[in-house]
Amino acid sequence: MTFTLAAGLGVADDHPGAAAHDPGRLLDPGYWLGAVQLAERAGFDLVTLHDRFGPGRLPRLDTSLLASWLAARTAVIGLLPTMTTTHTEPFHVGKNLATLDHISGGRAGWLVAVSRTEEESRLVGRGHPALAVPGASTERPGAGAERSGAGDRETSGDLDGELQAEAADAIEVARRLWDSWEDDAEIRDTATGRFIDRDKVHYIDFTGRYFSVKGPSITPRPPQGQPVVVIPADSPAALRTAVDGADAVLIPAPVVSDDPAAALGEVREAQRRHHRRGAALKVFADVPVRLAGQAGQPGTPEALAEQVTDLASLGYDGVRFLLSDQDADLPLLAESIPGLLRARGLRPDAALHPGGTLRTRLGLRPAVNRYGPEADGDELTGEDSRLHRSSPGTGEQS
Amino acid sequence: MTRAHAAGRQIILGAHFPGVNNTTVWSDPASGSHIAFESFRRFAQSAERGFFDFLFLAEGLRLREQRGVIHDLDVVGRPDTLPVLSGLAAVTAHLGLAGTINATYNEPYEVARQFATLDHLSAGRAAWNVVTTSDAFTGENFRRAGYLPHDQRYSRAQEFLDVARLFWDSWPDPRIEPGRVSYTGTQFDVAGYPGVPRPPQGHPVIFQAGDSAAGRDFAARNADAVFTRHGTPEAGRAFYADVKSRAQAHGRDPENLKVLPGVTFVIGDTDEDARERAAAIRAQQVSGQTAILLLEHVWNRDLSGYDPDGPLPDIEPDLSETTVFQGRARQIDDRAAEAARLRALAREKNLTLRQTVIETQSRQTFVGSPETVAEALIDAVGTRVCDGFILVPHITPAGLEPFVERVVPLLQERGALRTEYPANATLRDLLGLPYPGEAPA
Repeated sequence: MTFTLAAGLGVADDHPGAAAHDPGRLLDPGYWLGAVQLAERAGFDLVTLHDRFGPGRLPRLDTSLLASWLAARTAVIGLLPTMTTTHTEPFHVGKNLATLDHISGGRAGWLVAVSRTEEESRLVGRGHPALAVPGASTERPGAGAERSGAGDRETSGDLDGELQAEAADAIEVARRLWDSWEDDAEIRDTATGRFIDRDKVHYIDFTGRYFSVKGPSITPRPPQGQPVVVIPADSPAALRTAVDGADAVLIPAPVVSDDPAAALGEVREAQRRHHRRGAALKVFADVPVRLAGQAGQPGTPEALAEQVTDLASLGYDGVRFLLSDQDADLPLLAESIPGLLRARGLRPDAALHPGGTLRTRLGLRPAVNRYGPEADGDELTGEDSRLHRSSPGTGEQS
Repeated sequence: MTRAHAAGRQIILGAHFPGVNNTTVWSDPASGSHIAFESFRRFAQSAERGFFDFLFLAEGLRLREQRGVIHDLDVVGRPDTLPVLSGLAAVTAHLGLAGTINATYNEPYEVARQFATLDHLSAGRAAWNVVTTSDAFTGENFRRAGYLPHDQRYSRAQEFLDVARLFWDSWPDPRIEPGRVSYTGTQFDVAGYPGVPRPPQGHPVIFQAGDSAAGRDFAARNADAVFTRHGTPEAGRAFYADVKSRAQAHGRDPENLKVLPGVTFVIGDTDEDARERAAAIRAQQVSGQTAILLLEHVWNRDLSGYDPDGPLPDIEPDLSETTVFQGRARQIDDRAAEAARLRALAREKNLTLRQTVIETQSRQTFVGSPETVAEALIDAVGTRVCDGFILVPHITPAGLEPFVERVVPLLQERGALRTEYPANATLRDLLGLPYPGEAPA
């Protein structure tokens, strides 16, 4: 079995951690490289890089670009920048992540976020595109045309429901763009003078409630085919978006500490209710880390390992350690946790870790191209869903 | 005299990673991937070995089409500009990193944030080539679904840049609170705080590449450098004088607007050897099918029925607004005149259709021995044709290497190119540009 270890970096948005004393160093990529290499050497599978579209109290680099910088300096760890779907162009997001996957040799993922605040909306000045929909539906792109977007799902008309429906559409667009070039589209056929076989490059023709995108991508298919999509299930609508389009879902720390078994059951139930296509969602628990003891009651690595072991036995596929004081806690975590989990049989020796892509590390199947000859009509990840469709949400985690 | 005069002028060198065009000879066995990061790394590291000032990436946000189908004869596909430059920042130490980003299909807050990030990641080596697009064809990939009236292109670009500068300026020091930006104009209505403090260069270096009067004025007012197509001495000198005087009219020191033509080159052991290589490369660049497609830009008609080895089409160009090709930046202004020019040339030199295209569309700018090319570059800068060059090799990623190995040492010997990078230099430092807010030198 694959039990995933992730480190959540940069989560200390307004936390008075050590970084607050010298905020300038958050702008130095070397600072982030140090943290990611610590996680990489300790055998973590991936890091998420926290970001928000608007300002926080601390300076913050755009994590999609920071991740590309880090990709060129790291070797095996997965890199998941935060990218919001609310005020960004799905076309840009898709090629940005495809490029991160090219630079990292197949280690890219996407931590999906929505921008809920008025503050973020004012920075762009268009208003919330999603909220503009009900009143202006006849003027939206694609109005009157046949729609293919997940945004057609019932929303309760509330902000979060609309933003999450839009996020589901943005994920769908990114996934189609990633598949819009077949792997062997570049042919360099000197006999006919053709660089590509244009029959292997596809329009995606997405028309949804919030935007339409013609395609194809300008960036050829990324090495993983489909970079890994992860969504924090921080609302029922977010969980629904995860069911519609993610590979993995993150259960928020308060929910995990309250009733982890019930949270897992909810994810499985949501997959059944909404007819999850393809492989079941991987479910990761967010686990806050306080080992150094600057703030509140510090924990011990042994207690943390116990908690993780319990989560694994409940059926969780992995944990993400949230490092709100990463300068102090990451070194302690990196030196203690891998050994403790290995001793409990949860993690193989570092030497046995599967190499290759992030999908491989997480136990996700190779992504089959939905536009290619092996496509079977499953539009989520192109996986061979015939094996799994009969019992969505179960049977995958062995 | 010219040479002695030239010795005082440093040549600015940019390296254009070639992409979606018919310059690249992808059929050459030496031609590698246009997508793999390794190609970008090798290209950038070659440029850095040659003490170049910057690397340049173009952008096109929709695959080009001709006669309603995706164009398949040239290199197609490219990675996303800003992530590639960010990756290159991690594997280079001195080289400027210039990227083309469209002001039509982006919003200023996000682009300001991205370029501020790139400038921090690279310790002050970021440059932004500001372009605008007005075609609905490209807009089909975007939320705003894109039709921007042609005459609003530069007003959007201007406001876009104004807003970006407000965000760059409003948090001068991460240890203090950021200032609030508030802007209301015809294109944007934005307010709020930046998330990234002031970039190391203050503002990234600004490039502009449009050639219209409005484009030149935009450059004269805003840009640190102009990427121009006018590489020949006569056209170059006229362009140089024009944009420099426009800069002066905007109250700027014309020395702070660098004129940089995109140029091609072929280097041989002797001038004769280079000429032979150049002819062979042109033949590779323009196959019979490519000749037909390039000629369709002039005729604006489906010419697929014509024989590339026969004469030019006898029918007249279609002068209507609707074009048979989409997604290209370059368009021909006067198709009738261009067709007449090509016919006259074909008659005079007795050329076939393909030969005519080879003769007119792909002649390399600098062809010769290393000594000849070095002298020509020094002479062009010395006589104010330009301030430097953006080199476009025809092989990816190794095409820069002959220039780096054979021409660069000669430029250095003649005092026209640095022999080491100054310590901790930003791109502004390399180019001799002032920092925003500085008093003119």
